[in-house]
Amino acid sequence: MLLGCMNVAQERARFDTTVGQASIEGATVEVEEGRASVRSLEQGRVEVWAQAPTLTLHLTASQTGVWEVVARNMVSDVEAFQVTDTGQEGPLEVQSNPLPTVFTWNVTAVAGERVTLRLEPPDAVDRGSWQFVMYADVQDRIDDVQDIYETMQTFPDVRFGLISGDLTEEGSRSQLERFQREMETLPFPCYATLGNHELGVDEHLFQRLYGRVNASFGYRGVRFTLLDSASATIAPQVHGWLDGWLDEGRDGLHLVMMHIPPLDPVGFRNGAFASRSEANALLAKLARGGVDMTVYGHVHSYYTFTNAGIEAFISGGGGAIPQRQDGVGRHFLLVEAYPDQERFTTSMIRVEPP
Amino acid sequence: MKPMRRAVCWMAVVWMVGHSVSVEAQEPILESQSALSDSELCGEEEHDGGQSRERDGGQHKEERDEEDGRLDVGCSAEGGDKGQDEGGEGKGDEGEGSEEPSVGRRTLNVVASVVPGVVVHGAGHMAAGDWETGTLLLAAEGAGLAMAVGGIAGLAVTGASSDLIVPFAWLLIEGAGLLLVPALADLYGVATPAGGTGLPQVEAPWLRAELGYRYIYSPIFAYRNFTVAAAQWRWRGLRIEPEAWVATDDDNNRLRVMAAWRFVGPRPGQRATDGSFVEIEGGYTRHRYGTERFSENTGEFSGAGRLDLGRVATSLQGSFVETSLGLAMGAYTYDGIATESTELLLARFAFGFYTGHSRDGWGETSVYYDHRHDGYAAGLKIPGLGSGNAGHFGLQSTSALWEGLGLRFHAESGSSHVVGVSMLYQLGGER
Repeated sequence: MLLGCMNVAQERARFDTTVGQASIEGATVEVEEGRASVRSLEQGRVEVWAQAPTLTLHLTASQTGVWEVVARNMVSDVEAFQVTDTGQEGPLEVQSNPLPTVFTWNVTAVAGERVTLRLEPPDAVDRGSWQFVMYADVQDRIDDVQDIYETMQTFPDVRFGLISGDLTEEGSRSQLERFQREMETLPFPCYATLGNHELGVDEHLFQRLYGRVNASFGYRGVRFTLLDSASATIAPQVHGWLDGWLDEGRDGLHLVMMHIPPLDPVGFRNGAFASRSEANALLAKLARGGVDMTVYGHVHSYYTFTNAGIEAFISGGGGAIPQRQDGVGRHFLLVEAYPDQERFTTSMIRVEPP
Repeated sequence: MKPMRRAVCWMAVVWMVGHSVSVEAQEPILESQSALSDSELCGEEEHDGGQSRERDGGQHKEERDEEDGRLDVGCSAEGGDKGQDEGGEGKGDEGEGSEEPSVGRRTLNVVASVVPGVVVHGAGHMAAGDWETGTLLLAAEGAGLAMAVGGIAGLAVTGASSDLIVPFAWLLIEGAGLLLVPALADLYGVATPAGGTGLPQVEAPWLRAELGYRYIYSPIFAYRNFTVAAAQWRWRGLRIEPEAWVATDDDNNRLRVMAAWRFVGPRPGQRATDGSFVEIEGGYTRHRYGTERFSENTGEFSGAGRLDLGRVATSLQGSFVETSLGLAMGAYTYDGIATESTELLLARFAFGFYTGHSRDGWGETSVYYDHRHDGYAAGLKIPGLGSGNAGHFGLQSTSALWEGLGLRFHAESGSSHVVGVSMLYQLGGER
């Protein structure tokens, strides 16, 4: 049992390897690299929740027929292509678009043959500057989260948001679904990893709904790596994945995001990893892997500092019990990426005064 | 049943058991007397330059057995009996002329110290009829609970503000210690024979050397096997203590040197009343992770103390509590990349007991909580919402084998498991 306690995040890492795969009698769905969770799968219909701007989805059915593919949490100008075995791509027409981030396409499946869909925004490889936002620690202030979303929408060029955990108070299904309903009022998707407050009920529920908690994807010259540090540690298995993601991000900008920071800039508080040594080992690895920015939540304030020489931000301004006397209040981060210049600029956007 | 009603019911059960015990205690339990040594019968003594003296109205006499070196403490029957001083309550249900409860009674007391003692600390003593000690332990639990709640409330109200984190975190940790330790003291008090499990060294050794092995299981780091070498040199109130942990299967080592000044308590060549002490301690630690290519350099300062619980209640003779509070500051150096400052909150509490009664022997066992998040054990990882906040738990035990030679067993559990044994050699020191 004690050995199990030391590997508190390992089961979630193992579960990550199952995300994006589902099957029923006569049909199988697989999302490459687990970049979306399969919310539902029934004969003739599949619904996924995206954890990255670009998805590749494979569908195999035992009977020929038309399938309705619903993708949630997509960028608003996403394009869909059906890819044949020979690599030929044909665009698909959007059947419905009830929310800016929810799309439905129809694809024809031939019995026994694999159908591949590629969902990709048109600017996926553009190297020009672009914007995204980051926030965390909404928790029990969900009733007021629209204040944050309204302020975010004053920045029309934002392509997506990143959430570094603690979306909810305890991670129950009703809380996670409520968070989704609120979030889908935004005109752009948000990709999240979980925080410790998502571990209160069922540690896999977040993964079933929102996807992998350890994930990495590239977009417009930037690699984004989301790590699960909700248990104040990184699962040993993830260190192996991280080596590969660092290699993939070495030639461009690389941002790493997790909930609990490896080191708290206020060391006496230690709102951080359980082990300083593990924290330092991870940071040394990130620094040597060429990571350009790290972003965390958990501490309900705003800090800028460096860890292992990497620019670091703690932005826990989603509304949960705020740190007093810090002059911060609710806020989010607006980040502008300049891939050609290999740099980020970051602004803290206040939603309300402290 | 609501918690308050449940607690009241438990208290009523404990009171009834305790009441029945106090009636039973009128009957002497003669068979248990024969198995007791004089020291166990008399229990509490005070040392003053090797001379015994009266305490609590009883006449104590100290005799040293020349053959086995055992320190025997006798007593006359003029009201100074162990268990009868301090209001006639000691190990509990012993009446006049009797010192030890029966095996069945002791078992019942031990069970009471666990259930409901795990919630109502002191229940074991209450069941044994020692209401004074039982109530004291319950009051300590209450004080600990109040402190812990105060610490949590302070952290919540301030949002763990960086300006106030230190006092509130200290309050919470010390409160947790005061909340937990009375339960162990209660169990010790009713489970051990009169006189306790052992005696402290009231004169500290002037030198102690250690050489040992530690096995460390970490899910993150590759190292497993360590050689540990340490020394402890004392002169008057001063203690200098270098220590090295060196991995034999990885490029990892931890070098540490501590210096302390003891204001009160056992020193070399100077006998103290008991094992209690008060001291301040400072030190420097360099922990090198060669494989991962970083180093942790930390300077620290803390105040520490030990209280022998024999001062609190005769039934607790031979046991002690410890606590320390401090701060550490330092730097983390990532080879060829950066050096960055760091800080660390230090807090520790322990409960332990001495083992053995022989004059030249030494030994003690303690369990402890250490809030350190650095080092090998570091902080606890636990499932659910609260992982990372707590430090680690540990157990250490020392015991003399032959003359100055002895053994240390050491185990810790946090982010890693640490377990190992050392050979000890000490010069000086006496009970």
